[in-house]
Amino acid sequence: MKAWFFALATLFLPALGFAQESGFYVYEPTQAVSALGITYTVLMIALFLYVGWLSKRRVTTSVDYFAAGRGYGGVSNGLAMSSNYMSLATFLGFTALIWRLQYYVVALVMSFLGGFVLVGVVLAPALRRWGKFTSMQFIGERFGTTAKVVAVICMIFLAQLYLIGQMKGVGNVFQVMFHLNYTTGLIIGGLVVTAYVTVGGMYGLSYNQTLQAIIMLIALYVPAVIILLKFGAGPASFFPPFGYGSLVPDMYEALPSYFNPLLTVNGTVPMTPKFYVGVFFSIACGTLGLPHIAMRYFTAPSIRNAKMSTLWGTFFVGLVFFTTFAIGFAAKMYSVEVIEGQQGLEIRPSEADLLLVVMSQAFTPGWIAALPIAGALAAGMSTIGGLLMTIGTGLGSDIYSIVKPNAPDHSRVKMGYIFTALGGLATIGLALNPPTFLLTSVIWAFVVAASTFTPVLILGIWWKGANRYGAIAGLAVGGILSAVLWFNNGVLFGLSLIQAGPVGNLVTGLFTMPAAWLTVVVVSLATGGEKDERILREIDRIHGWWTYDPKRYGSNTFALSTAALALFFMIWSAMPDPAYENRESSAATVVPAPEENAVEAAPEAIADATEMVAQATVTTGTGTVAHPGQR
Amino acid sequence: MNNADRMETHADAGTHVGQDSQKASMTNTERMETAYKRQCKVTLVTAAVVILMTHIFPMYFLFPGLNDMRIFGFPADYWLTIVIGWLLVLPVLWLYIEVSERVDQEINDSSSDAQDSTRGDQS
Repeated sequence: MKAWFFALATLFLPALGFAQESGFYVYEPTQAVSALGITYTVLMIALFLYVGWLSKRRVTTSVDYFAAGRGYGGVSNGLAMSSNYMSLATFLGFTALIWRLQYYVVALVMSFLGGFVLVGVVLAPALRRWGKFTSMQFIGERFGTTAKVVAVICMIFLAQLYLIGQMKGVGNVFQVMFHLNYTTGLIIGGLVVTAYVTVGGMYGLSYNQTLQAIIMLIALYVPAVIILLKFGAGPASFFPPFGYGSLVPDMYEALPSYFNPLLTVNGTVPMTPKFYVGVFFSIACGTLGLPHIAMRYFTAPSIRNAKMSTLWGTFFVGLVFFTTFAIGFAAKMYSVEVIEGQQGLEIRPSEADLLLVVMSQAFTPGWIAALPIAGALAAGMSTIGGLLMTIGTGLGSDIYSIVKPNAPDHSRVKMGYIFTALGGLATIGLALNPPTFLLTSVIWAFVVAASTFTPVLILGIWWKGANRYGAIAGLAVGGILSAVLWFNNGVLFGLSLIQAGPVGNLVTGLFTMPAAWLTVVVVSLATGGEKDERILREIDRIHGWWTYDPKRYGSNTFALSTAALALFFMIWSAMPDPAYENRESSAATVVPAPEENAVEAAPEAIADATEMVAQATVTTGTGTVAHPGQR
Repeated sequence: MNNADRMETHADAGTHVGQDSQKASMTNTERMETAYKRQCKVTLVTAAVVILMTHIFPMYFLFPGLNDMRIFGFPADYWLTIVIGWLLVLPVLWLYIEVSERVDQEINDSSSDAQDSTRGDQS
């Protein structure tokens, strides 16, 4: 089987381009893939615009424009939720992360899934009963106009961080696949998504997000099945998430460290308890606060329907996540195998984002190899669409209602059109100078969401004591802390709160989210808690009650115990992490890269090499690069 | 029956109505209290279970031997992390939907009964 695989890989390898000087592989689409990719993209874009235009006919009121008439639920909403959540960073980035960080990524990805489920359990039922369009509107009615304005500012900040990463990805896809320059690709992709979201509103967005989820699933699943079949994984290939079990022994032979949960290829991100808890706070809790995720629950016709959408969404999200794992596994195997004495693909980390397309081109026919291009664009556009709709609703409905409280419904819809379009144009402008790494800005968006919306939403729903002063202070503290840390590369008053690599930024959530939570509780208690009976009655109502009881959801013990826990996490996050500190102190130490690729090497030598990398992960600095593809 | 008797009878009847209402309201209060506790418990337990199931990754630190065991070809800890965090979360979520719907119904019934009895008392 292995010999067959090598022969096959060798057969396809000449079709791929190599940079002459560096010896590193540089992806170059074949003519067939490029032509078919353009065809799929043009057809897909035409379809999205058509759906957006068709949806415009259904928009007559603001409920239609901002919440799809509250008639979009079930499996369709589940699909829309999943494509809304899974961005270009998921579709292309996860394969790259698996390739770079291996098993380690499982820890991150499971947190994404956990956060998605938690939204449906902790927030969605109450938010849906409140019956508005956005979480900012909930904050406005629960905590007052000032809190709403601060929430909208936080939303714009996090949406822009999220959007820049996505826009950059869309621009990159156009650049690499169709040889357009980055700016042209960005403008085309950005304008298309802005157009269909602006014209079709939430109806257009919902139908398109459902379509995009289906496109993403097909574009990922079909190549994954073919790739695994060609690798010799057998019938299990037809369910890629668990389709590569039979290839595991080959992987152990080629790269014994692949399934070591404590080891990444370059050992730059140590897996410590602090890092793992930081991941939970930033990713899982960040998902709870993402306004474009919460927004999908407002379209559901009923509470039960909203919960069922979460169930479907969880299934689809998992299907995509773990199919990217399968492709990442295959790509890893492909890149470290020895092919007739010649080393396998050597891929620069910066090229890793294209691994899905690389693998499809190497192992599938042209008409399938071009599918991931369409899938990647669909993934980027679905998330961009969701975020633009959030911006449009936040400014067009939430802020406009403050400026003109008695504005007629058609004016609100008009404002929705204007602000959605302006949001899209502004993002295109900002993405002209994007961050270097696709995931960096998205990671910070999660940190901002966790530090602003999550504490205020959870406490606003589940604790009657939370009041406007607490909410405003919490939003401000969380927002400012995350902005300062983002701007200052994770340093606050000389104290570094991050760990190495872009993923290390996630650790900041361990400080910022508890800080915001603690602020909401302390300031609310210090200012006497919530006194307005109208609001207190509303809290009972959003939990399904017809009657009012001041004791319900009013436990200060709950608030104080969680605040104490938050204080503990803040102190912990400020304390040095021994594993990371050791690495910092010996950053200059360079350990020679082990020859993990040499499968002919004696098992003892491989074990020694792996041990060396393991040691490097724990005790040495970031200067150590034990990249299997590096000569 | 003189006027005083009539007034007394009316007062007795009123007392009986008040007692019945109070009894019914007591029952409702208990029902509401139970439903409230159940709602908080269901949400808290589900959230905790989901967090645990989707963050089972550190089990490797407790049972490093799992990495050497194989399930369908995969290292056991890798396979279990994905299966528990994804496929097994689905039935848990479905169970939550069913139970929380039942709790919502209890909340709806008990609080609407309480509202009716309050309205009855007022009229």
